[in-house]
Amino acid sequence: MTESPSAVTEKRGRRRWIARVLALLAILGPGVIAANAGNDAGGILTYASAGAQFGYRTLFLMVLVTVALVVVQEMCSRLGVYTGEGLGGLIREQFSPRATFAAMTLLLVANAGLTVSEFAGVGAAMEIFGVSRFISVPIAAVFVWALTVLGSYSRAERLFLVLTLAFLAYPIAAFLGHPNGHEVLTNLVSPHFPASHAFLLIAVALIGTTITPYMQFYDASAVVDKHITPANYRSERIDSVTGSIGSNIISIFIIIATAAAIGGSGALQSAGQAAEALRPAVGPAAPALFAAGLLGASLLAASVVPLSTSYAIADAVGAPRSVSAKLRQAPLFYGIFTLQIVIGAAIALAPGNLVGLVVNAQVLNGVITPLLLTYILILANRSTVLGSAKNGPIFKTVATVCVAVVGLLSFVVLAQTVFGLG
Amino acid sequence: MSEYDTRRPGKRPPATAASPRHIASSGAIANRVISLAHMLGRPVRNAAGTRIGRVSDIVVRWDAGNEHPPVTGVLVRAGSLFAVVQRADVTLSQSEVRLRSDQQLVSRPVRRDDEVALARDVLDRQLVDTSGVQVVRAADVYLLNGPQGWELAGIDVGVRSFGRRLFSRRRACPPADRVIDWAQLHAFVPRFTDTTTAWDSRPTIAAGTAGSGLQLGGSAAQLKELRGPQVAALLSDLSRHQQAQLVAVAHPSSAAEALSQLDSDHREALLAVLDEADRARLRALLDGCAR
Repeated sequence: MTESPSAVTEKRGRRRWIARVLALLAILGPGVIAANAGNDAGGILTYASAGAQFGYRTLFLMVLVTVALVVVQEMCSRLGVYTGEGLGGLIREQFSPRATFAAMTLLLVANAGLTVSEFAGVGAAMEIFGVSRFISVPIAAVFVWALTVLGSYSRAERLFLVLTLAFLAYPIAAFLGHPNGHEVLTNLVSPHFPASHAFLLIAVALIGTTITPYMQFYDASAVVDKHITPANYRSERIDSVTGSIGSNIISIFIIIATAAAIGGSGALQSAGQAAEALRPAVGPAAPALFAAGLLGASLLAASVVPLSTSYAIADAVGAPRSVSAKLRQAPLFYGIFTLQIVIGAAIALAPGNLVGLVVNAQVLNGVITPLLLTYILILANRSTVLGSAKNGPIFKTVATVCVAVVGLLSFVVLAQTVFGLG
Repeated sequence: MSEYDTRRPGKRPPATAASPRHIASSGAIANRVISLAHMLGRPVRNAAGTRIGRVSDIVVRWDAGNEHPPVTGVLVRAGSLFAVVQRADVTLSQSEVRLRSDQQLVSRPVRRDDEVALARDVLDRQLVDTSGVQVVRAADVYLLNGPQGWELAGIDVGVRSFGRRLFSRRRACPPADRVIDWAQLHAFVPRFTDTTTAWDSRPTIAAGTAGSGLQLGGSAAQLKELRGPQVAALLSDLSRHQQAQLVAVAHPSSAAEALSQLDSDHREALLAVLDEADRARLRALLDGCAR
C-alpha cells in the first residue's frame, strides 16, 4: 500500500514536531513533570473549559495569573523557609483567635470545594470508561480514606503520579493540533478582557484553580519539610519561580490544545469532550489516556487536599495531628479529613454536569483566594515575622496590586452572582 | 504534678493528681484563678474607680529556679502609651485591675530582658511538655493566687478553651479544658539582647544562628532527662529554630541519638543553625555513633 505525497509530507511534518517537543521536554525535564503533577482535576477541567468556551481569549489572563502566582508562591516559600513553620501555626501566632478561626474556615470551605472537584474528576474519568459515578465515587472515597488512614498511601501515590503523566501529551497535542499561531501570540501578549459574566466567571475560576489557597499552605509546609534554610533559599526561590512558571506553561498548553480542537463550542459538557484535545497527539487512545490522567490526578489530590487541610487546622487550634496517630488520639485531625471526604464524595454524586461542578468549585476557590492572600501578604510584610527577609517596597507594591486585582475580580463575580447582575 | 493539672486520665500521660475536670470553676480555687485570655483588654482603674487604661499583658519574671514564675506587673495600655504597674500596687481580678493608690501611670515603652510578657510570648505559642513528651499550643494561660502572690500556674491546651475565645470575653474565669502545670512546661520565649526593645516587637531570628532570638524557659534538668527517641518525637512538631534550641539544651547523647534518626538533609539543616560549640560536640557524638 502506498501513501499519497500529502500524507507523507504530513507524517514528516508531524515527526519533526514530535522531535522538537521531545527536545523541549528533555530541556525542561523533571521540572515539567513536577509542574504537571500540580495539575489536579479542577485545573485540567477548568483550563479545558476555558479553551472550549473562549478559545485562546483567556491566554492573556493566564500570563497575568502566572505573575501573581510567582509572587504569591515566593512569599509562601519565604515564610516557610525563614520561620520554619507552616501557615496554620503562623496565622495562629500572629492573628487574633477570631481572625485565625476565619482563616481556617475559609481554608476548610475552599479545600472542601476542591475535594468535591477531585471526586467529580473521578466520576467524570470513570464515565469515559462507562462506569457510573454512583459506583466509582463511593468506591474512590472509601479507597482514599482507607489508604490514607491505614498508612499505605505512599505506594499508591506513585501510581497516581505515573497516571498524571498522561497530561504531558497536552504540549504535544498543542503543537500537533495546528493552533492558529498568530491568534495564540496575539492573545498571549495583547491585553483584553471581554465584559461578559461568563468570561468573568471563567477568569475567577482560572485564578481559583491556579492561585489556590491549598497550594499556598502546601508550599509553605513543603519547604519546611524539605529543610530549606535561609542560607540555601536562593536556589529554592529559583525552584519556586520556575515551578510556578512551568506549571502555568502546562496550563497554557491545555488551553491551546483544547481551543485548537473544540474552541468556541461553548462550555464543556463532559470530560469525554475535553479528551478530544489529546486526539492530535495520541489518536483514538485520547479518551482512555485522558481518563487515566484525570483519574490519577483526582485520586492524588483527593487525599492530599483534605489531609493538608486537617494538618493546617489542627496546627492552628493546637490539636494533635499525625497520620501515625490512632483515630481516638487525634479526633479533630481525622474528623476534618473524614468530613471533607464524605462531603466531597456526596456532592460529586449530585445529579448534573460534573464538569460544571468542577468549574464552580474553582470559582469558589477564586472568591476565597484573595481573602487568604491578605493574611499571607500581612505576614510577609511584617518584620517581626521575617526580619530583613520581609517584603521590600517594590515587592510589597506588586504583591498588594496582585491581591487587590484578584480581590476586585472576585468581588465583582460575587456581586453579580448574589444580585443576579451581568 | 500539681493541683492545676487537669489532663484526663488515659488521654495524656500522666494522670492528674487532683483530677477535677473543671478545676477553675471548682469552689476551692475558682476565685484564685485568672484566665489571661479573658483578662486581656479588661479595664485598669485607679483607686477612685476611674478607668485609666486597659490590660495589655501580664508580666512575669523569668527565673530558672522558680517552677511557677511570679507575676511582677501588669502592662497597661492607655492610648498609645505603655506602662507597667507593679504587682504590689494593684489588685488583680478576672474582670478588672485596680490600682491601690492614685498613682499616675509612668510610660515604659520598652521591656527588660528578664521580663516575659505572657500574652505576647506564651499565649497561642508552642511549648514543650516534658511530662507528656509532646509539643502543645497554649490556648489559655492561668494565673493562680498562691501563698507567694500571683504566679504563672499553667496553660490550657484544650480546643474548647480556644473556641471560647472566639466569643465574648468572660467576666469570670471559664472552666478549664486541658490544663498542664507550668512546672512541666518549657516555653520558647524571646531573648532580648537589646535593652530598648519595644513591647510590641519581637527579636528577629537571624539566618544561620540557633535561636538567637529564642531561649527555652523552665528547668533544663527536665529537658536533659529526655531520651533520644523522645527528643526525636518532639523535634517533628517544632519549627527549625525551636528544634535547634531543644537540641542545644537536651543531653548531648540524647540529642545525638535524635539527630541520627533524622534524614541527612534535616540533620544538616539543623546542625547548620546550631552554635559552633554545640555543632562540634554533636558532630563528634554522631561520628562516634557511626563508628
